[in-house]
This record gives sequence, structure tokens and C-alpha cells, in this order.
Amino acid sequence: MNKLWPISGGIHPPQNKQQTQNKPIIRLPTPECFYLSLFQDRGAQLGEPLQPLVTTGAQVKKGQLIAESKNNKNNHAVPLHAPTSGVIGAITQRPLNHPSGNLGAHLELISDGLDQWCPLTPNAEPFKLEKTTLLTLIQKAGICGMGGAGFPTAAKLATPFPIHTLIINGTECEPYITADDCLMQEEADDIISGALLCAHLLGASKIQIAIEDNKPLAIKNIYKALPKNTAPHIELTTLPTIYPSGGSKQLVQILTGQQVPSGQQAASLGLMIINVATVRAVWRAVRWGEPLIERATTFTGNALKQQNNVWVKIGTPVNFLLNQLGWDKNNNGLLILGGPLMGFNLNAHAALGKTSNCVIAASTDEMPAPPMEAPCIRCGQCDSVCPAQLLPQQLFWYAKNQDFNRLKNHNLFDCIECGACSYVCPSAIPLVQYYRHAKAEIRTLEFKKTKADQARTRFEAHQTRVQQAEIEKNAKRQARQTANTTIQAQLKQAAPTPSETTQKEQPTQDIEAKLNRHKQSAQERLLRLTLQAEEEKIPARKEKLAASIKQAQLRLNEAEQKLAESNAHTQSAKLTQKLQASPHQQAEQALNTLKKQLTITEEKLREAEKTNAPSLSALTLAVQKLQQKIQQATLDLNTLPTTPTQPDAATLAAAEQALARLAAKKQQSPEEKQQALKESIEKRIQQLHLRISTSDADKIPILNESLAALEARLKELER
Amino acid sequence: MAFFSEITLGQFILQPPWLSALIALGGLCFFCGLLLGFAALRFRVEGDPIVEQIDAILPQTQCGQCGHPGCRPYAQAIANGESINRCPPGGQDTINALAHLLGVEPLPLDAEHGVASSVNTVAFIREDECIGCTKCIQACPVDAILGAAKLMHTVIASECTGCDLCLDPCPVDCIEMRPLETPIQFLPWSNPSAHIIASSRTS
Repeated sequence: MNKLWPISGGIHPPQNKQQTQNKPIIRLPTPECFYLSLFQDRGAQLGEPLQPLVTTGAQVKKGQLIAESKNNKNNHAVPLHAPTSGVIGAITQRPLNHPSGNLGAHLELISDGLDQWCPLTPNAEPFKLEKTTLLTLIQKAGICGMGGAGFPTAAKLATPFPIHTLIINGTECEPYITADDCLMQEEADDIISGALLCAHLLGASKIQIAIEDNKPLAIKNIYKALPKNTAPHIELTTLPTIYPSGGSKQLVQILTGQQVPSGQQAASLGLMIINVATVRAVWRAVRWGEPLIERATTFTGNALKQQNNVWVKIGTPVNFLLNQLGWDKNNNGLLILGGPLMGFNLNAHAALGKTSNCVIAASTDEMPAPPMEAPCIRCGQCDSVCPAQLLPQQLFWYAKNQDFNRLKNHNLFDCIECGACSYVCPSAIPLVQYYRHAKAEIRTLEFKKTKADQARTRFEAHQTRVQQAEIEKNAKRQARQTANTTIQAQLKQAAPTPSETTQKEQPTQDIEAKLNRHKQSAQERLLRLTLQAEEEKIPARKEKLAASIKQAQLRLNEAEQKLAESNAHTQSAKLTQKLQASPHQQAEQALNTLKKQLTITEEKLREAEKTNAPSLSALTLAVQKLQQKIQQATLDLNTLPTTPTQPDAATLAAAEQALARLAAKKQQSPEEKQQALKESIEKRIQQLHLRISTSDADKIPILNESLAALEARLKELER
Repeated sequence: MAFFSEITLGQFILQPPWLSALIALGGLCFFCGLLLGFAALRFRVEGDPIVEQIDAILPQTQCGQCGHPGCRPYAQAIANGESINRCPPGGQDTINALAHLLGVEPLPLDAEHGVASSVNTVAFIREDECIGCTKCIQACPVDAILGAAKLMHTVIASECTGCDLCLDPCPVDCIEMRPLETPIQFLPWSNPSAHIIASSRTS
């Protein structure tokens, strides 16, 4: 007999195992529809959903792989296999077999009733397989811990720690549950073979099978099945019944007297604990190639006529099985998945999974509605029964207060949620529910924090990148500027005169065109900005636009001024040229002007002929006169000297004055211009009146015509 | 003269008590000064630690609703005395945490800067309408939009903070905010009052 150590705390609730304990595990008809949860059975913590590998309408065989983890590297997710042959239906949202009771995606499988296996690959000699091959086989078979935590077995067996002792957990300490008990009675050989295979895989030198002393038949059958003189020493240990001896950390303490450090696993002490149902599943997967699609589940509680252990295919809806066992819905107080201490309320429509070890359909007498929660009286009973040596009343205090930091400091995450504290609480406080709620909240907060940290990192990287780009842009601009200045300096050094002359000799026309372009673009810009400002609604932007408009206006003014200056300059230059020209040149120019006038008048004459205008006779006269003048000028031209004349001061001054007037006229506003025009027209009308009164009779009609035209124009202007 | 010639330098120092006290205290001061100087150099803190702490509380959506170009500038502003109630994405929880950290009264959220939403959102680009102008890519503070000029863009939903800064620059209004589904593993659990496991103690 091995020496055993006591655990701290622990309780002795009524066992209630006799209802199902020594009966064979039965098989019930399978349902028409299976609902396979795409979420991993991972105890309280749900993982990422699995990715279905089949589409709606696909024919599947029993044991065929139908869903696996999206992330291939993630060996913490186990694949899902079809529990029977049939057709894949839709993906539906159904209640999960999870304490949160939330809805989750389920893959629907419509059974064809044939229950045909897909081809399996058995291994006649599993002990001769490579370690990695074994791990792959276990992973592919979708095996996870069937005691309740649901941790993927392949990931657990691939531990980096050296393992010297493998502990097979057959304690099953929680009341009501007898699934492992019955399994040990019926499948002792498979369990022993599976244990030996796992020990072989881990390289463990010792196997300890731990069973509580309230399972005499299981102990007997396992003892009978124990092989003699095997390479790893295998022994059976019977434990005194105490709840929760089956928790992995508690079991380590009972068997070895060692405590698993906070935040670590038993593997760090060279120990590994695996459930009996899990080792059996490992053996079946490796020896016969069967994936995990079926498990033994206890159906108990007084609301059932027949209480028994049942082979349950995963994905079977609970109510389907309950109805077959004579479920009295009217007398059902609570429907619980798991044991009465650690389990949770189950929706009858939920489907069972790989970790569902017990369903309790308790009658109202058996489990009446819990009494009202009373205030904590600090009696300290929870403290004395806590197997994890925590301070339950303190944790309760902080959980109610949502003081997550203090909860973490008080090692909330070392709580195994065994429910011993809730069981003994005289105030009927559902302590474990508070802890579970707080744990979920902390996990959510941590998830948010990781997201925030990720966003911060990305934001900072973004900022750095933008700044870097700005710096690079500036550097490039700087480099361009320096390059430009050096090139210009070099050019100046190489050929200083030509560059200057080209600068000076730039034709005036070009300059004018350029200035015109400037003015035009400034006008366009102003127009665009004004339009934008009218459409803009945000005040801050409007202000900005207003500033831009002002700037554009200034630029436009500048351009106009420059253009005017340039015009004045060119005009004065032209005038000076004119004044300095020789009589010959002057005459030539006069001749040119006359010729131009002649062409214009001829044009007008032609138009008048077409329309038969009243000015026809006047125009014919004007053309004749102009032709005479041109003849005269051509004759005179040859007699004139070619030497340039020196214009006297008076002429120059008069010219300057004329220019100034011109410039002044240019700067007049449109109204002023109009006014000036009106005045000049009026003046001309007066002169015409004078001329009409003094001239010959034959000219009077022409003059009258002109007068009429002028008067018409004046009227137009006034309008 | 005979008196002076008979005593050594050490004896002379020890002779007048005030002088020895002065030397002892002076030496002590010098030593402590050295220690402080060394500590000031050795344990120098880079940056303002309070800004880091405030920044750690802020939700890091980088949305700019507080009027600052990101969460860290707002953290800096709070450290310089700005009001703590200008963060709509953080909501009342963030305000309470800031109030706790800074030892001030928690204020209600300033409605001028937006209203807190209980639903997390994520930007979504209607891809067939996207013209590939890259304007949203430039606006995104966390580089969560993928795409190139004249090619369709898309939002990396897992990186999007839901700040909606990409909505405004879009010339064809093909971006919309969609509510983000909380992963099922992070859905809140029901509070204990409703679901209680009855224990078997009555039987």
C-alpha cells in the first residue's frame, strides 16, 4: 500500500452514485439529427470555432473528419468527426453545452440510419510506432481530456517536461457521476493498454492508477486486468473518498504530498494525470484507428424513470436521450450537465460533446430551487473547505465589487471551481458563479487590452512612418535646392554674359504673354476658391478658404499691376521709337496705317453693299479718299530723308502726358470708363451739330447719319 | 612652541571638537551628495510616467474625437490638466479608471465630443463601389486598410479600431461602419443571481 497524504479542505457530500453505479452501460437508438458544436469543449473557456471541411448535402461516413482548426499550427484544437453516416445539413445556431448558455454554430448531420464506418487503419503493434506518429494519430483522432477540462490530449502528451510517473485518474469524486466507474468495470483491458501506451509515449517509468474506495467493482476489475511484470511498473492505488480528490492538483497532493506551484501544471513536477476515459480513447484511436465520436455519460436524477450510463454519440441532443429514459418534465427541478457541484444549468436542446460526463435531471424534491442569497456573515467555513487554500469570502467580496486587480492578486485563477465553498455556505451564496463571472470578465478585459496594445503599436508605427516620410521629403527638397543653386552658380561662372543678355533680350511679347497667363491663372484660382467657399460647410475650413481667397485676390492684383506696368513700358518705348524715327520711316509707317485703314474700310464697304446700308455712299467716298492719300504718300516717301529726327522736349512731354492719361484710363473702373465714353460721345454729338450747321448741303445727309448712330449709342449706354 | 611641537596632525584635528564635527558632517554630506548624484543618473526615468499610465487606460481607437490626433496626445493633454471626460469610445469605464488614477472626481462623458456606444463597430468597404483612390488608406491611423492606387481596398477587420476616420475622405462613400460581433468566447456571462447550481445537500 502506498503512503497517502491529506489535502487541505475538502467536503463529504452524499454520494448518490448507487442509482447508476453497478449497471452495464446501455446503448439507446440514435437520433435522426446530430448537432455538432464547432466550438471546442474546453471547460469554461471556449476556443476559436472550427472550420467545417464539408458542405451542405455532403455524404459522410461514420468517423470521417468533418471540421478542424483554421490554424494548422494550433495543436490546442482537436478535429471533429462524424458520429454516424449521413448527410450534412446546415450550420445552425443552437444553445451550447457551456455555462454561458450562449448560442453557437453547430454543424447539422442527418443520419441515414446505416451507421457505416469510413475505412479505418488499425495498428497491430502500437508500441512499435514512433513517438511523433503516435502523437499525430492521437491528434487526428480528435481526443481531448474527457474528465471535464477538455484539453487536447496530443498537446498534453507532447509536454517539454520529462515525466517519470503517469497517473491514471479514476477517482471520479463528484456525486452522481459513475461514467468512469462503469467504464473501468467494462473496459479495464482497454484502459490498461491505453495507460501503457501513454507511458511508453511519455517515457514514464511508473504508472499509478488512482481510484476512490467507493468503486469496489471497478477496483476489482482493474486489479484483475493489471499485467504482471511489465516494463513500466504499474500499480493500483485506492484513495479514501473525499471531494475534490479528482482535481489534478489535489490528486498530486494526495499521491505524492507535493503541491503544484501556482500557475503551473503537474507536468513541471514530472507527473502527468490522464483520465481513464481518455486513455481508453487513445488506445482505441491508435490500435483500431477509431476517432473519438462516442463516450459513456451518466444519465441520472429522479426525474428519469430509468437511470443509467449510456453510450452517447457526440452531437446527440440531450432531450432526445432524456425522453427515451422516461424524463418527467413536470417534475424536473434542474437539468445539469456535469456533477451537482461543478456542473451548470443545461438547455435541453443543447447537444452533448466530448467532455459531457453526466446529465442530472433532478426532480423538484431532489434539488429544490436554491434559497435566496443572504449576506456573507464571514463565518469562514468556505475558507476551511477550500482545497486550493484560497480566501473564498475575500474573493467573493472583490468579485461583487468588480475589483479585478485585487482578484488577480488573491489568485482567483488558482480557483478550480470545485464548488466546495458554495456547498458549505450557510448564506447560500453561489460563490463559484461569482468567480466564474469574474474570470470571464477578466478574460474579456485582457482581450480588450491586447487589442488596445496592438492598436497602439500600429498607431506608433504609423506615426513613425509618416514622420520618416516627411523628413525624407524635406531632405530631398533641400538636396534639389542646393543642386539648383550650384548648377546656376556654375553656369554663371562659365558664361556670365550670354545668360545676362538672354535675360535682357527676352522679347516683350513673351513677357506680356507670360504676365497674361499669370493673370488668367490667378483669376481662375480665385473663381474656383470662391465656388468652393460657397459650398463648404465646416467653419474651420471656410476660414481657411477665405484666407486663400484673399491671397488669390492679392496675387491677381499683383499680376494686373505688372501687366499694366509692362503695357505702359512697351507703349512708352513704342512712342519714343516713333518720335525718334526719321521722316522716311514716319512716312512709311503712316503709309502702312493708311493701307490698313483702306483694307478695313473696303471690308466695311463690302458688308454695306451686301446689306445695302445707308452708309454705302459715305464708305465709297472714304475708300476713294484713302486710295488718293496712299498714292500721295507713296510718292512722298521717296523724297523724304532717312536720318532720324531729334524730338524736341515739348513733343516728348506731350507724349508722356498722353501715356499717363492712357494709364489713368486703364485704371478706371468700368463705371468711370462708361461715364468717360458717354461724355466723349456727347462731345462728338455737339461737334457734329456744329459741323451740320456749317457744312455744305451735300454732306449733311452723311453727317446726319453719323449723328443718328451716335445718338443711338448714347441711348444704349444710358440704358 | 613646545606645546605645538608635541602634538601630531591627527591629534590637532581631534583636539577642537567643533572642527572634528565639521569634518565628519562635511564628509557625510559629500558622500550622500555623491550617492544622490549617482542615483539621479542611474535610475533616470525617460519621459513622463503618468502619461504612460493614462495612455494605458485609453482605448487606443486613435479616433481623435477628443480633439487630439490620437490617444497618446490626449494622454499628454490630460497630464497637463485637460478634462478627463472627452473619450467617447472609452465611455464611463475609462473616465472612472482615469479618475481613480489621477485622484479626481469622475465626470459624466462630455457630449460635445460624441456619445459612447455599447456596440463596437468596424469599418467595411463595399468593394465593388471602391474606386481605389487610397484616401482612406492615408486617413487610417492604424494602417488597417489594405489596397493600392486604382485597385480595390479592404479593411483588415481584426486591426480596425472603429474610429470612422476613413468615412469622411472617401469620395464615393463606399465605407460604412458595421457592428462588430463579439467573439463567442468573450460574450459576457450571466451574472450569478439568475443561474444557480443547487447542491445535493438536501437529499
